[in-house]
Amino acid sequence: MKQHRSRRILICLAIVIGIVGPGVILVYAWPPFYNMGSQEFIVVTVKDQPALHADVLINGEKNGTTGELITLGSPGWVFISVNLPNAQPQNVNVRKTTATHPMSIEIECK
Amino acid sequence: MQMSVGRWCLKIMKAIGRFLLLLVLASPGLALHALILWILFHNYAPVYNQRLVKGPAPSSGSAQDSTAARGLWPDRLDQDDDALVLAAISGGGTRAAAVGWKALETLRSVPYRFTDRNGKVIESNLAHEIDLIAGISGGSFTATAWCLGTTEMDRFRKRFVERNIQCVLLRNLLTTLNGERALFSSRYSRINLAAELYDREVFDGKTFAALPARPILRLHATSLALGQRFTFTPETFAALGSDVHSYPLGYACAASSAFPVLLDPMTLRNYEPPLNLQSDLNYLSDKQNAREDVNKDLQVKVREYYNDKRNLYIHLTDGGLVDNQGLQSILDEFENNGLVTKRINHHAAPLRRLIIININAGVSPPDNSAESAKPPGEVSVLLSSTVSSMDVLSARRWMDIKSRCHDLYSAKIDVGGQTVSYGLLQEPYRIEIGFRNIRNSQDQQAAMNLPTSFSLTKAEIELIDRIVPALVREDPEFQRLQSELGN
Repeated sequence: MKQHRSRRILICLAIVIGIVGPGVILVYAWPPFYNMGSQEFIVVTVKDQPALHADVLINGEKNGTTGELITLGSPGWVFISVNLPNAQPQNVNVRKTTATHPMSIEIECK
Repeated sequence: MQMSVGRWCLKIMKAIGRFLLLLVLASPGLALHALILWILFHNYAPVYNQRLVKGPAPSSGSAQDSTAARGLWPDRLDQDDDALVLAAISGGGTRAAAVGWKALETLRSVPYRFTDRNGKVIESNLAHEIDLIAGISGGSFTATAWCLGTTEMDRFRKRFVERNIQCVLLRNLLTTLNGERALFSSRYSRINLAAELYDREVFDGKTFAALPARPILRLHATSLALGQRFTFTPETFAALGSDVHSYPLGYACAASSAFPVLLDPMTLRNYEPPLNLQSDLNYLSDKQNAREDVNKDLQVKVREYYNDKRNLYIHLTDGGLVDNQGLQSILDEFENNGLVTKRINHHAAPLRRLIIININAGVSPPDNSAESAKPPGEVSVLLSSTVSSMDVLSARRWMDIKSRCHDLYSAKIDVGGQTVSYGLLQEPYRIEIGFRNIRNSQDQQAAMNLPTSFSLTKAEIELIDRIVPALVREDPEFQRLQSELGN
């Protein structure tokens, strides 16, 4: 009887592993491969003036507008500012963002 | 019979003897002639790139300085603002120039209809929509001609593709004053002779100032000291304290196609004063990322090398040594502040179509070395170690472009219609025009055996003219685009 029970448990375990296994592989192996994408995403706003529209400067070059999703080509450190007088540039390490979870950056204009 | 053979042998021996005697008698004269030429020409210098003039922007009138040329929008009035088209033409001598020419002509016959900003329907063609074109080695000539306009493109076929350029080069070397200078000068060499020929007879002395705002031209050579890509842009020339606008297009094409050993490297001057790199945000940002990103590390080294004004001269050789298909140039546009990212971030006019066209004239002639126990000779080994490894790297880059396109499109799926920048984006089109895709095995074999030289026979050009349009039409991504365009 005990032998039967342990065999049944073993078979059930095998079935569970059989079903869950590929799922585990998908969950653990697929996302890192899928997330190998090199793009990063930010949204830049002006501090205390969230509705203000201005050009965003990525490493000093005009690229996108405040309040809107901005795509960066690769992860890493980048100088971010806005094309407004007295804007205080920020040196930000942008990593592990997604289009749905971009990094929010506030630029202060003194 | 034996007598007549003996008499002939005697005659030949006598002729050889006379020739040797003539040579001995003439040698002092020849040596004197060579000495005089050496004294006259050993210090003869070529025309170098010009120094950048400080003060008001010298190039303010150049179309390449306009917003469109720097990757900003809107495009040219007669171009579709909703599309971004990037093309690259590989190296491969006249074969690459001919394949590039025919591919662009085929794309010119593909109708492209769009509505402009003023609501007017414009009947255009796919080739006219190209925003950026990269050229390497032989492909650099076609890319340049394309940027100069359709009239120039038609003339280019006669002036370059159908011409025996290597024969003209050899004739110029042996029969002209500059040819003698190239033989005896330590600074003016065969590549300068070639550059002057391209400048004079292919591009009518036009410089970078003659280029329009669109398409943006990316010509690539290889910096010998760094083993890195050298791109002929205002930014790279500014790092050398030089002005790209006054630099002849023919010279840049010569540098891009200076195949090692056959042609000497092309030399540029590196002028003072050095730039203040500490105020250059791209440099500072790259330096911060250098440890984790090898590409950024290389960029830092390149900037520091050019900024070190003890490096008085930059020697350039064939662009194909580091990127024989120009695909790295396309990959760069996916980076921060690249054309693709800037375009995606331009929310006012969401990007609808991203089209990448890879025109690859690469060949892989059959290798019979495995049939013999004798190892391949030095030349075979040298070619295999340079060309074959580069082909593998280029294939990798093409795969990288595909995966960057996939990433871009995945972001659209993530944000759905919530952000205008991705709202209308269609799945990017990646069109590959290459001999490996030829369906007819006989044609493929013939194409794969086309020579890498600066001359093609009429039959070889006819083969290219027949094969390339089919390669364009049969490409599945091109067919997907055609269906989208309603053609």
